[in-house]
Amino acid sequence: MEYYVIYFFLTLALSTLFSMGGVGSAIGLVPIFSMMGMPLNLAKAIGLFINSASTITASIMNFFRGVLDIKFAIPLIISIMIATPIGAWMSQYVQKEIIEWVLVAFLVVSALLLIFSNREQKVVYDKAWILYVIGATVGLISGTIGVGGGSLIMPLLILLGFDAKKAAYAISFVIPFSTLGAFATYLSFVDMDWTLLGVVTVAAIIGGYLGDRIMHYRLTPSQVKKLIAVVLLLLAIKMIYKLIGA
Amino acid sequence: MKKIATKMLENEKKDALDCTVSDEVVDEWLDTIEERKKKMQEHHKTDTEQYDMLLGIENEVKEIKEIRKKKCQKKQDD
Repeated sequence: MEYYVIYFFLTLALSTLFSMGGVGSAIGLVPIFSMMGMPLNLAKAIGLFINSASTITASIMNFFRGVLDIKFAIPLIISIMIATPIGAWMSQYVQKEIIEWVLVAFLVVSALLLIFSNREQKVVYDKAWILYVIGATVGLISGTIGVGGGSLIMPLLILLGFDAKKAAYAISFVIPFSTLGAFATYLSFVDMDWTLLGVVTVAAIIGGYLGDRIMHYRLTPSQVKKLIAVVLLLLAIKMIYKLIGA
Repeated sequence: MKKIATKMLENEKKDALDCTVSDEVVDEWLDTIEERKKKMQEHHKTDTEQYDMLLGIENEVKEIKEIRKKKCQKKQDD
């Protein structure tokens, strides 16, 4: 029982935090679950489902608030769904570490730009082809190295001039499309703990709801930008830690 | 859809009517709805259920803005 309570509150806390930035919490939860003794593949499968549950919750709320532009997200969804399996296939031929170091550099530069850039945010590059390119690139990278797409698309959209909150709304909607398919794949070879999955899903839904409300009502776009920057830096630190084998 | 949206906004009004919430949040919310409305008008989607829903939400948010103006101004004066 105590075991489930711990997982519930951990998921609730991280899902709330990450939903405030519009991204899924698996990136933080998977290593923590793994460190707590959960088999890595089970942690990844549960993490993927948590991402889907919290972002679906946020997307439903955003849709009924009128702030979710589904049409804008469609090119991202299509290209990510095509490119992610290709990336997963490519992973057997590409040296993973090189891509991970490039990704670390990208995350750090993006985070610093988000923190220090005071540029007025205007939607400039919102043509569908740009979104297809972003979705395809992110899909290839996330498929190759096995990270969630949200934390990669977010800085790209913001750097292209999209408003941080609008980008977060759209990305919350894109994430379930890339994670649910992967979750189904993991189910085929992972021995799932269904009770645990149920417990963390409830926590992720509540966390998605709370985080989204906080983002919508309490944070300005510039605060969302800073929050995302902090999340990206934490992610970069986690990857460096893993890469140098500390 | 419009009914669900209105019902959800009713539940969320409490947050939006809190004077510690920045005016910027509500203004930005209205801007986003306005932007989406414009896009749908450009694409001739004004006779869709989604457009009707947007109009309903816009009215709700404008109402929230009005109530906030009175309520939060009054609090400042006190």
